[in-house]
Order: sequence, then structure tokens, then C-alpha cells
Amino acid sequence: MASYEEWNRQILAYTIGGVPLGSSVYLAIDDDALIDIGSSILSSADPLVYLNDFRTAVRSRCVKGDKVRIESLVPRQENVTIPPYMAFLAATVLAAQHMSDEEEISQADYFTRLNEILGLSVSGGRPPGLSTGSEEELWKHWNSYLRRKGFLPSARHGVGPRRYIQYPISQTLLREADKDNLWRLFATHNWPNHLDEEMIAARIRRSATHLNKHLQRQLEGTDVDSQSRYQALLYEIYDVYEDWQSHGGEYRNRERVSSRLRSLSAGLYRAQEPFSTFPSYYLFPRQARRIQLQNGQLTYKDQVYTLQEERPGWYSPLWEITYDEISGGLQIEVEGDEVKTRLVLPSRQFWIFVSDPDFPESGSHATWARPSLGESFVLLYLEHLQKDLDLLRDEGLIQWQDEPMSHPSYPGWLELSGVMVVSNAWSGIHIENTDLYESLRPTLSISISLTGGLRLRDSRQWIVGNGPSVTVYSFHRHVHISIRRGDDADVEESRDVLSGKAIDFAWSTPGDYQIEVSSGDAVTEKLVKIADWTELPIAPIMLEAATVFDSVRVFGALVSQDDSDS
Amino acid sequence: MSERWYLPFYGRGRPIEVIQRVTKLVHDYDLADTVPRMCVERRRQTRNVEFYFFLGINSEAIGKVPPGVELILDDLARLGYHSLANKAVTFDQIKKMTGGELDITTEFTSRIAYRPSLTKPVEDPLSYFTEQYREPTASSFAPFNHLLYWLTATGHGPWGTFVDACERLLPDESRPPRQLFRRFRMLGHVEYVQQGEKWAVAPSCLVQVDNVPSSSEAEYYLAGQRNIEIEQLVNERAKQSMHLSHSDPSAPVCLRFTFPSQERAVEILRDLKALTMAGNASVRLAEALPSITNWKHSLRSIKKTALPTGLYYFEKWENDSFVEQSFVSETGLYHLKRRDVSSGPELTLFYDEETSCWLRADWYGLRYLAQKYEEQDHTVYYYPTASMLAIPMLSRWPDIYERSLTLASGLLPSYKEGWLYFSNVSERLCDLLASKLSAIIANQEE
Repeated sequence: MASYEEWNRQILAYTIGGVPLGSSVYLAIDDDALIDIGSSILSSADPLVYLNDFRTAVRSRCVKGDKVRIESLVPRQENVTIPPYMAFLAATVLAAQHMSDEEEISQADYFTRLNEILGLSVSGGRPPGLSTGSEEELWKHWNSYLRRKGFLPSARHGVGPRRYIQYPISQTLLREADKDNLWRLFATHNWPNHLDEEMIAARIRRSATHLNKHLQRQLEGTDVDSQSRYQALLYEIYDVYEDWQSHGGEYRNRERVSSRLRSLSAGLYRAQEPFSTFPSYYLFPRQARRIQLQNGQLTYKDQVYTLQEERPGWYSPLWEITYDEISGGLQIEVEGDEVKTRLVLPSRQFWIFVSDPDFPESGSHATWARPSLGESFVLLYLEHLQKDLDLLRDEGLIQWQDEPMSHPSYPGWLELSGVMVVSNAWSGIHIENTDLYESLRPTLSISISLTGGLRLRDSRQWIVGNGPSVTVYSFHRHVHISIRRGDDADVEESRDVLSGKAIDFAWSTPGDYQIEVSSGDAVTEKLVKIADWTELPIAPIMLEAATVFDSVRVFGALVSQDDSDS
Repeated sequence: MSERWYLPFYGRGRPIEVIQRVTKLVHDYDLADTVPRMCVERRRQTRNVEFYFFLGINSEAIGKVPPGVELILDDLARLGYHSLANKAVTFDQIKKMTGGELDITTEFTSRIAYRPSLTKPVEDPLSYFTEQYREPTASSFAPFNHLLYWLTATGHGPWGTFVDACERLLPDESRPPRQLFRRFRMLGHVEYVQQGEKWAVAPSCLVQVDNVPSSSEAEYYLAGQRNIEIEQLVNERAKQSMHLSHSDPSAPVCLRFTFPSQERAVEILRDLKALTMAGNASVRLAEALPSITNWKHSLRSIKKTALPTGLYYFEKWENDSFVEQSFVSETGLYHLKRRDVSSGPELTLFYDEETSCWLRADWYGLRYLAQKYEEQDHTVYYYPTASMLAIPMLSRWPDIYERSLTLASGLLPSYKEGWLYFSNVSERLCDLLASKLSAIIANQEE
């Protein structure tokens, strides 16, 4: 049996591990998630063992006699490494998840489920000992914790009688019925293997009419909750896809008996040396969420490579890929401490490179994410897609500046730089490559761009008095912006601005700021962290910056024996 | 209760223009609530095509055109777009032939202005530059301290981010970023990565000052990563601390600390895990450095064929300046400029005809190689009483060797009349480096 603390720690790692900074985080715990987590703590052929062990662990900590006691879960200080309430909040989300196959969640039914999870024989009504609103403090602390870590919180309260139960409800993403629907979609439409997250996203959008109403609503919503859920939903959908890849079949077996085989997907990192005419493309492995891969290594062409985190969500680029690899894809076994998986570079017809989201001014490009509205990108594609791109440009949907460039190392591939989506009127346009269409068609009609200032890497943090310029890109001429500092604090700034025009804000006080912009029904938000000079951390050292002479390593003023081979 | 239905139209032209016109008409007549949607037939061609489009209308009943909408119909008819007035349809009937509904009340009200990606001119941080030295003036080191704090907190990054940080933090009259970076590098704060494409901050350490006048006390200074917290932690433990200014105010202030002895320093600072005792870094570095010949062999080499001569203009270093010249594969120092200037930075490289390779290193290092090849005299002057070494500006040593000199004191050299003066340089350090660089030491009395 695993302890409450073990479940608590693993739930935290499962929730934020490998999540890129700036992303919205959802405590989306359901039975599948608990089976995944449990299999990393315990070992059993029966998944029910994990589910029961979780309940036992939560009860052992949170239930005394016949009452719920969560006082000990309230952190004594703001800054904790591992919030102690993760498993309890996961239990509340699990209760909501068990409800969510129904269209409407009633408070009474929710509490019935929660009581059942907590092992309390009370029908309807709050669990005894859990006074009204007592759990809100934990949710607020969780939201603060996420902001401090550089993520966007997603837990929100409701109104009226649903105020407090809305917190766990807001964390549910896919229902069981949604997963069944997706599974059938993958099977009946013969989705190929080894699609990466971007291709899954493109195909899901194209398949919207085959999705149930619940999924369609979630994927098409425009309010801030829907937009922040969108990316999280796509990841959950990708999870179901991986599950389907592992087990196959047209119908999903809800009584899953084995863990899914998760793989690491790879993108590409584009680099160009000062004296080189052509860019180089490197294999760029993405950190898989929910695989705790320690000391991951792979062997390729007799060389051993160690996966080292480049930033949350990504490992450092590996080798320069060849024509065969970019055309045909790649699969390589990866081994870590107690984990075996594989790294997959999918075979694709195009790749979209965006600027470094942590350092947009750096000139680096990689397949970090979809381009944001107003953001130009680099497109690498097979030349037969040129006519599709020309059509999109003729329709005024995208634009680019220079002529396509061919690359001698990759015959048949072209590169276009400075590509940008300029219109939202994509309906009615039909191009041959529907993946390309869905990958370029904007999913949002409003976005926030943060540029300039003095930024710290890997933390989405700027220095006081040197914060970013804020530009809102939208298909609407006027947008509304509000900037709030801290949790539920007063609004620091609230006004209408022109889209596409940079706004300077003083950023004169350290803290966590949430920027929300809206126009019509479209809303989106972003987090900005401002640090004081006295709070600046010490970043990890980049070991490869040292110079080695014979067996001596020189790094700044440090001269030492080089033991890099040991 | 209103119903949504669609009125079909057909026409010829550019569908994108129809969408724009309909949207404008709807908003001009303030009918966005009545005509909130439209759909356009899927098509593969974009110009001068015949196509169907559908106006989504909210009205009491399907097929009933609400008041005001006839204004739009009249305008569209004048433009050549005719409605099929008796053919009211629902979305379900047309969704397969169209790509979905366009929300013309909120979508497509304007386009986003295209912004071509502005490629900043790429500067090669290792390329040739000229330095002006001037008399020291009272300047604040605070901006340079802040720059070091930012470097410490960021860890590493592309070269462009260092340039941006300099622009942001430093006064306008500050030296160009390359020259500043070189100074930070001499002081052991940073390193180049990947031939200058990136920068990285060096580990935080306490460096023993070389050649301190005989005293049982030990003097150290901070090098590498540094923030306010580290400064305070060391300050609290030191017997005495000093803020020393550089003669060239282009670097963070030198923080020197005095401890009762070396042993006490090590003991006192043992619990500061973020800090490493670097010892006498200047001598250790000097001992580790190769001879100038072996240093040359260790440099990054680029095959001659990787830089097609047809793509560049060449200038060769002769008599202390670059002179335009055709490249004839002779050994020497060259400055390369792309004929197509938008395709890359200017490069400064040393060509070695023995290996048919270009060599890449810091500018002063390559110049030193060129001077060595030309058998120029490299005499330096040592002042034993002052523990000072003077090097002529016109034949500065390669960066890594000059770093060894700078680390002796933790201070940038002072400048006077074409000479650079490095302090706290012991005779041993001087001999070590000069022998590796085949330089001649002339001892001077003050």
C-alpha cells in the first residue's frame, strides 16, 4: 500500500511534469490517471488495486472516524515545495469526474460520489466535517502555487450554490463517453500510428462533426475557460490516442488491465550558423508528460545520447537529421531509470517553426508550439504543398515575404520564412492537404504577445521596471485589456486599446500579474511574473560552455581536471 | 422565437471579396443581429470562379426575409450576386458543401496587418573591432552589476539576448556589446558557446588575488555568477570587503574580500554550496594553457570549401589594417563580407594554407597568430616592484591568455599611451605566459 504522501507527490508530478511554462494546468484526475499514477508506485496486474489504494490513502489522511478533517492539509506558508492537499483535491475531482457523464451535475449527486470515495456512509449533503467553503482555501493555494511556478491556474469557483463544487468540476476534461467517442473515431477512420500532438490537433478539428456535442462545445468555445482548456483537452485527447495505439480495437475497454505504452515525440530545432547559407535541423525531443523519465538515454548509430532537459517540456536538441529521417520518420528505444519507452519522430509533410517562446528576440526557431495570432513563423514543407500555400495566400488568409528556399541536403523540401496568418475567413476554402489547413487555420481569434523587457529564461519572468511590452492581436479592431496583480487583487489596468499596437506598462512592483484581453466573445489570458533584483535566482550552469585543454577544464575563473568521460 | 435559415446566392468572382462586401453591408446597415452568419461553397480555385454562398438569417419563420435585409439583397444584386429567393435552406443541408459558418458579427471584421519578420543584422561576436580607450571617468557600476545579475539569473542564451540586455540596462554611451562581453569574459564571469552564437555565465567562485604583498591575510574576489544574495553572504563572513573600480568603467565592480588566512577562508565559506574556491586561478590557468602553436591547433577549423570564395569580398590584414584583396589561399588574417549582405554577418578568420582551413577564434587571438606568422616582435614589459605587466595594445594576447593576467587581480587593465597595464602579476605568472606565447619580457624598473 502506498502512503498518502506518496500519492500526493506522484499526483503533483503527474499534473505538472513536462508541462511547458505558461500553460494552463488542470488537475484532471480520473480512473485512467489513477491507474497510470498507481502503476508507478505499486505493481499489480489488477488496475482496481490502484484505485482502491488511492482511496485508502486519502481516507487514511483525511477522514478521522466519520468526519473529514483537512486542517492538516492547509499549508502553513505560502511557498511550499509539494502542496500537501494534492491527493485530497484529486479525490474531489474524481467525484466530479464520476458525475460528468451526465449532462448536468447536481450538488447532491456530487457529494454522494465524494462521500463514497471518502468511505463515508452519508447519502447526499456535504461530507461531515467538510464545512461549507473549507476546501476553497486549498484551491486558492493551488492556484497561487501554479502562478509561482509559471503556469496558468484553471480552477475557478462557480456562483450561488455551485460556488465550491465548481472548483473540481472545472478540472474535468474528458468524460468516459468522450473517450469512447474518440476511440471509435480513431478506429473507424483508421487513424495512422505515430501521429504527434500537432497532427492529432489538426485531425480532431477536421473531425469535429464526428465528435459528440460535449466535445464539440469544449473545442469550439471562445471564453477564457474554453481557450485555456483547449490545449489541455488536446493533450488528453492525445493520451486517448496513445491508449488506442497501445490496445487497438474499435471499442474501448473501460476495465483497462495494462498501462498504455507512452512514447516521447520529437519535433525539430532549426539553427543557422553565421557563415552558413542554409539552416540545419536537429532532432528535438519533447518531454512526455506523465512519464517520469530519469537519466533517459538512447543509442543511435553506435553513439549514446543522454536526454537533458533544455526547458520544461523539452530536451536539448540531439543530432542533425538526415533526409531519410525527415522524410521517413524515426523510432528509437529510450531507457531511463526503471522506465523504457521510445522516441518517435513522425513522418510528416510539413513542419511549423515558431520563435523561442522564452526568448522571442533570440532568432531561434523550433516546433515548440502552434504560432500565436500575429506571430510569423517558418514553414518547412514538401514541395507538392506549394500550390496549397499559394491558394491560401491568394485567398488572403496567409502571407509571407521571401521566395521559398530549397535545401541541398533535403531535396524535395522547401522552406518559407516570415509566414503569418492574417485572416480568419477560412470557411469554404479547400486545399488538398487537410492537415496543413487545420494546422494553419487559427484556433483563437485573439492572442497576447509579450516582447522586449528583461526576461529570465525558463520562468516567464521579467525584472522589475523592465517588464514586457504587451500587444494584443485580434481580428477585431478594438480589444479590452485588464491587468491584475496577485490572487483576486484589484485590477491595475483596465482599458480599451487598438489591436496590433504595443502597450507599455510600468511593471514597477514585483509580483504575479494576470493579463486578460477580450473582444466580443473571445477572451484569453497570460501570466507575467515580475521579480525584484534582490529575488533573482542563480540559474544552472551550462556545462558545455567550458573549454578543455588536454585534461584541464576552464570555465570562467574555474580551472579543474576534466572528468567528463567518467 | 426566431429561426436561423440560409438564403442561397450565386455569383462569379473572388469569394474572399464577397465575404468582405457582405460583412461591410451587414455592419453598415446595422443588421448583425439579423444576418449574423454566412457560408461559402468549398472551392479549390480563388479567382473568377462561380460559386454559391449563403446568408444566415434570423427571422420568425424559415424563408421570411426580415425588414431591412432587402437593402442587402438589393446591393448584392447590383454587384451581380443573385439570391435564389425561393430556396431557403438550413445549415444541415449545406454543411457538407461549405466549410462551416462564418460568424460575420465578430469574425473577419478586420485582418491582422502583416509584419514581415524583422531580421536584426547578425553580428558575429568574434569578428574584428576597434577599441577606443579614454581617460577613466566617474561612472556608475550599477548598470553593469545589474547586467551580471541578469546573466546569473538567466544562465545562458543566444547572443542576441545579451545584446538586447545591454541596450536595456546600460547607458547609451557604453561600449558595444561585443567589447563588454569580452571584458566580462576576462573577469571570469561568462563564456562563449558554439563559437559565439550563444553565451553562458560561468560558475560562481572566489578567486585568490595573486601576488599580494607578504601578509598572513588572504585576499579574494568574486568571479562568475553573482547576485545580491551571494554578495551579502560572502560579505558577512569576510574580515573586510572592498568595492574596487575598474579603470575602464565597463564591467561590474570588483568585490574584494579579506580573510585572516587561506585556511580560514576555506573553512568560513565551506557551507556556501553555491560558491567554489578557485584558488590562484591566474596561475592555474597559465599552467593549463597550451603553447601558442598548440592553441592554434585547438581552434575550430572550417574547411576552405565550406566558404565558397565567390560568395565573399575579402580583406587581408596587413600593416595593422585590413586591405581589400582577392583571396589566393595565402596564410593570413582575413575579413570576409558576404556579397549578398542579407545572408550573414561579416567574419574574421585566420587562413592556414598548410591545412587549407579557416580558423575561428577571438579577434585579438587571430591577430596574434597573424603577427606570429609575420614574425613580428612581441615584447612586453614587466615592472617587478609594482607587480605590473605592460602589453602593447597593437599586439594584445589571445583572450584566454589575457584572462589569466586579468584574473591575477580581478581588475581590468588600465590604459596609457597605447599600453595596457595588468596589476598583481607575479614574475612566475609572467614567465609562464610569455614562454607559451613566445613573447619577450623586458624587465623595467619604475
